[in-house]
Amino acid sequence: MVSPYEQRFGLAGRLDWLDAHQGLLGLGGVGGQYTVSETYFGASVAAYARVYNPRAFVCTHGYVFNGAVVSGNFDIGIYNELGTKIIAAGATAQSGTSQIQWVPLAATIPAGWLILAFVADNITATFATPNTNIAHYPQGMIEMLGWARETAAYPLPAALTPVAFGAITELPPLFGVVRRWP
Amino acid sequence: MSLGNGGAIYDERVALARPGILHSLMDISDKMYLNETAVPVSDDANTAYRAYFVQVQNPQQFAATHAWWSVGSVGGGNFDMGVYALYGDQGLSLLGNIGSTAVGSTGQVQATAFSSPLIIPSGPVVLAIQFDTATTEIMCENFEPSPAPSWNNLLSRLWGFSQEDFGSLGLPVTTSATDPITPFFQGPPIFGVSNRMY
Repeated sequence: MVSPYEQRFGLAGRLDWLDAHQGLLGLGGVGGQYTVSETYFGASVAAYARVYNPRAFVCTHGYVFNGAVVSGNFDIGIYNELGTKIIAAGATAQSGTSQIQWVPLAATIPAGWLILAFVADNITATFATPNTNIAHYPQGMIEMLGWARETAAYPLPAALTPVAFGAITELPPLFGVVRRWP
Repeated sequence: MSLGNGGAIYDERVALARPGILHSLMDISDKMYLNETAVPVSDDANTAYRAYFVQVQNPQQFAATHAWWSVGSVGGGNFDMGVYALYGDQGLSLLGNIGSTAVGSTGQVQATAFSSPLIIPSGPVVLAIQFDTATTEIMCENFEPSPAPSWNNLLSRLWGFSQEDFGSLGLPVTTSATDPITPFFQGPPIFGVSNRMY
């Protein structure tokens, strides 16, 4: 049974799935929508999102929502609460415009606090981002919502050194990890 | 709660999908989307030394490192923020606060560290913010389309907000927040506590 809290914050019926933007409906304007194509916010700048995994599961894929222009490479992975990498895909060529790109990612993901990570090596690549009115994200907000970043982080490092985002004009892409079936 | 699955029992913890964060909008997001939020609006504190409270449900104990609020268009003065435990009808008991702090830059989120990480217990807790001026402004959620539902003392009370007037700045150790009275903020004010990642 999924708790009302998990239902409210996007886990209802969808265990074994961690999304970097889960739990953010409470702040940020109109939920449930996204901008289909935004350029990545910083070349080789990793975005880190802390999430909660209610139960351990075997992950099969990472995913990211590509925008209208694909370019270069990205990496996607997941870290434990202490910032040590559990698994990452490594350098992956961005492929397939305006669609979800699936990346094989096989690992057992433990329950508890985790950190999802994504980095692109260029700012020509585009991705879908939450259609959250940026006015809801004044400088300093994104860090209070469980995000951080790290420069020169392509491919994803073995351990995190997170720092503040600072002022942002674009949100990190829609990405996550999942036990996909089929 | 537990789930039986072919003989295996999973202990599903009740927890936030976004752990380590409590904020003033977290328990009303579904109600807000029924009303469609617009761009946040800046609104003043109305009365010097008035404290504003919001009850939230913390599903999972965590250590808060920072208290934060979304500074509006007008700064100046000082503020205090804290977290209270809620003990039935016995009122509020202060778990911790940041103390008097100068209001920071307008148009940004001001995050202030607790002197040491504040353990927030699971269960109902109350977030509080207080200003020492009537003119300092805080960003508030807004509603559209017009005519908007009336964000008044009745709706704010229903959504867990309340207020109380004091004679000086500094959240008290114990208090009982009174019902909100008009005028109140134009919409739910934006503030909270978090465990920051760095």
